Amino acid sequence: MVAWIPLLPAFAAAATALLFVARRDNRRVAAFPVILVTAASLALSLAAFSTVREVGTQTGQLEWLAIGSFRVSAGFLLDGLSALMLLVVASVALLVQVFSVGYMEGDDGFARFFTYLGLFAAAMLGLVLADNLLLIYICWELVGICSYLLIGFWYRNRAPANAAKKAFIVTRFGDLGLLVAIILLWNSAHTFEIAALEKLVQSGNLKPVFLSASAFANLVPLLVFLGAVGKSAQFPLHVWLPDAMEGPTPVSALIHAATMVAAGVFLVARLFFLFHAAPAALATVAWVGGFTALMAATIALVQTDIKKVLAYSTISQLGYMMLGLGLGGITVGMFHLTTHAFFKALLFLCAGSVIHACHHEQNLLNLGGLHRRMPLTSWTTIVGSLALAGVFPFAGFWSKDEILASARSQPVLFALAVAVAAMTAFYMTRLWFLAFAGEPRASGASHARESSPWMTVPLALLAVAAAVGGALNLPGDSFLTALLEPGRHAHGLDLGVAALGLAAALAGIILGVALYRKEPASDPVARLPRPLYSFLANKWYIDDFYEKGVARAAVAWGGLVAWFDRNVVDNLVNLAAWICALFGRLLGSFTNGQPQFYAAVLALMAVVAAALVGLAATGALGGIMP
Amino acid sequence: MSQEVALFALLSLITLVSGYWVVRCRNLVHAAFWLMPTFFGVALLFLLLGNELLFTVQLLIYSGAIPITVLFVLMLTREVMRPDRTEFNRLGAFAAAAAVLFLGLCLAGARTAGNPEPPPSVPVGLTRRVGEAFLTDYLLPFEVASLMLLGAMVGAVYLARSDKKARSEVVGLERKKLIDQAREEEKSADAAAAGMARRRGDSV
Amino acid sequence: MQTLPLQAWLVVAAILFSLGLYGALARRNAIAVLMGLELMFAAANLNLLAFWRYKWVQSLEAPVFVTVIILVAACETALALAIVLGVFRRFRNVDIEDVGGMRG
Repeated sequence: MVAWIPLLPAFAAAATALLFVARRDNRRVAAFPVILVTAASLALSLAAFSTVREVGTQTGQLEWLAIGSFRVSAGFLLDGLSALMLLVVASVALLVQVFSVGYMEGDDGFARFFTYLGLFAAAMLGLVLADNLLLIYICWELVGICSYLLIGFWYRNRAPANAAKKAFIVTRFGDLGLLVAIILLWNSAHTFEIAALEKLVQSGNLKPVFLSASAFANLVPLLVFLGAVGKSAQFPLHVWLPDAMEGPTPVSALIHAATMVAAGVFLVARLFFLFHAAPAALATVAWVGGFTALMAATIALVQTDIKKVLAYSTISQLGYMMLGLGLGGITVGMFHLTTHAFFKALLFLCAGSVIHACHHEQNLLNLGGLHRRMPLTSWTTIVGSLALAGVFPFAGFWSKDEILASARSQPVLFALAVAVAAMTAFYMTRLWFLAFAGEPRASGASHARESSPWMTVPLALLAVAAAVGGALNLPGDSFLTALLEPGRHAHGLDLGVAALGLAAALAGIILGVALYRKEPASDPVARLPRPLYSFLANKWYIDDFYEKGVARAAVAWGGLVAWFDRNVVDNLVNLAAWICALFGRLLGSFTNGQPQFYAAVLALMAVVAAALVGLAATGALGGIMP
Repeated sequence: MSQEVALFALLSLITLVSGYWVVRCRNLVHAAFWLMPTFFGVALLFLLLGNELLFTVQLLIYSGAIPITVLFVLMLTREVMRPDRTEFNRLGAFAAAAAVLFLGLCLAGARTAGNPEPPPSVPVGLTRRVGEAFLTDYLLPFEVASLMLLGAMVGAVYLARSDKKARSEVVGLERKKLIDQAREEEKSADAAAAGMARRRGDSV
Repeated sequence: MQTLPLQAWLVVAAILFSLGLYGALARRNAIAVLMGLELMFAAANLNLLAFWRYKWVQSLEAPVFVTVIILVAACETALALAIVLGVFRRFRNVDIEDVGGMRG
């Protein structure tokens, strides 16, 4: 039964591809196979979730590959972690798909879009359920290719095509780390299975080859984390995610906010036993996460593109999750992942609704006055923003509070997290006021109308989830803790920390309201000191550094290698071919079509043969001839 | 030096010298004529070896029939023998080397033949016995050989038969050419006559 | 016969054979090549009969064999000349180098 959860969308994607893409048929009905089976997957996920709660961890396996002694099984590992992720992925995927019916209406690639969405759902659900690292890696790459295909969905334009390439190449660095980690684990443990690996690591029976035990224990989690850094857009591999906003907005909501980018967080949680054994690796996770959260939040302050604000916000919140994983453990990180999936998907879909209504106007400075024109979108944006900002009692408050609480022991990281919370509240306030308050500043916004129910119903549903999602792990109840880390005691509510977090959020909101309530003549953040503003607006110059430094060095090195290839390797190959041709011509000249020449050679060879026989008869040749 | 040795030397000389001219003569008709003394010498050497039967056969077939046939074919293909072109191909030196090496090999082999004494005389009635043998012990080879002769004859006729259609075409073409030529000549003659008449008219 | 050794015959046959070989290899005209082949046949026959005379004069194999060889060679010559005629009619040429159908 469980195996059908990822398989159904895969079949649906294949069916959509066969039925509609091949026929270039972009009717609305093309969306339904994928939506229906995703709904079925969601139902099955709910069933699986209740099974896990009642019975406990479920597994299933079948032998997949057998090459000599190399045996790989494919199977699923359904425990609390994967059951939770199943629910998140299936529900967000379903809502986004429904939203897309409205958003993508009339697009040339309608059927293609739903094929990709189905493939993505299959790959993501497979990634969540996989019980061994090889399967995880395959699904990991599959979601990566879906991301590539969907970012570059409008591939006829240059910007999406380049963004897709950038995402693919940048995440590749991280994927390489994950691959090396998997190879190292296989070499030492001779298994890909997560459960078996966990047992080996926890019992201390893992005997590493190549490396000393301590180096292995630290290196492997760091390599796994490198994979997560690429996928979850952590510093320094975060640069692809803002560019990925070139894709259709539902894609940004599903893949680049709620699910795929969270796969890195999920991977760290899945292999948390590796990190447990390596405090240094865990500290790295926390620090990288904290730094990324701060950096992305500061950049988000000054962005003017509505989707870019949300993209940097996503990076920032993913950093928050990493921080929570590094300091507090699986539950803390996964809780924030879950709540973030709902409210960030909500915010992206709201942005999609706005963009759709305003004829693809994404610049905040050209929007405005949408609150009256799109009330439902506006209200759901408010709910999402409050949840993201961490205002009581919305979902984000609870999950953020847990992260803050677990950071208490690290003053620096704690201060950083509080600062990020304040900035988050500020930029979301800024976003809402610029987009929805005041009067329209351009024609796109002035003609906006509320979107169709295809789009607003998912918004409403997600808004509900964003509002009450915190109930999953209330401090006293700790439903999630029991599910994810049975036997661990949930800590209660630390009123001081909660109050501080809430105060930071409110401070950000108040500052935002103060600055943006009255329609400002120019964006107040642009009045920041010039060096600081350019630093932020230019995204800390990280992209420039990559472009001017890393990419140029790579191109130069590539030129060198290409020169070597063209002039040395090619010439060697040509030399080999030339030698062959030479011998060919030499031998070919014997078959010149002249029978008399053949006869002459025959006569000479007869002489040689007879001479050899004669010499052999006299014994002159020794033992060469019989 | 006995009489036989002198005879052998003479016949060998005739054979080899005319053989040399067969392969070296530029004019192929001359070469074909040189075949006759060569084979005649060989036939006489057969006789010197005491085999009248093969002497006769060699004389009839090789000295007589084959050069004549060769000459016939040479006449038929005469037009390809162009005096401007050497009769030897580019393999000359290579072929000579091959031949000389082969000769060396044969001579080296001849040294190993020992020096057997020949029996004093050839058995009487050799020809008769060979004839009888062909009709008894060697009947099958004899019949096979006769069949082969028949086959070769039919095959040669088939191969050498001219394609009637092609020939008629050629003949037709040539006739047309001749007719055209004749008409041209006629025309020019008429023109000349008319011109003469005009000139005559002018002068009158 | 007493003073004439077997080797003398063999040497004559060898020289004749080599002449024929040279002719067969070096001549352009197919008919001339055939003439060279005839010389080689004659040399082989001479060789055979010399051995017959010196070693197996009582047996009949050698004369019979030589007879058959002559017969086969005659057939071969007849057919070869017919082929030459056919080639000539087709290509207007009997030059072995020019009739290049055997190019590999």
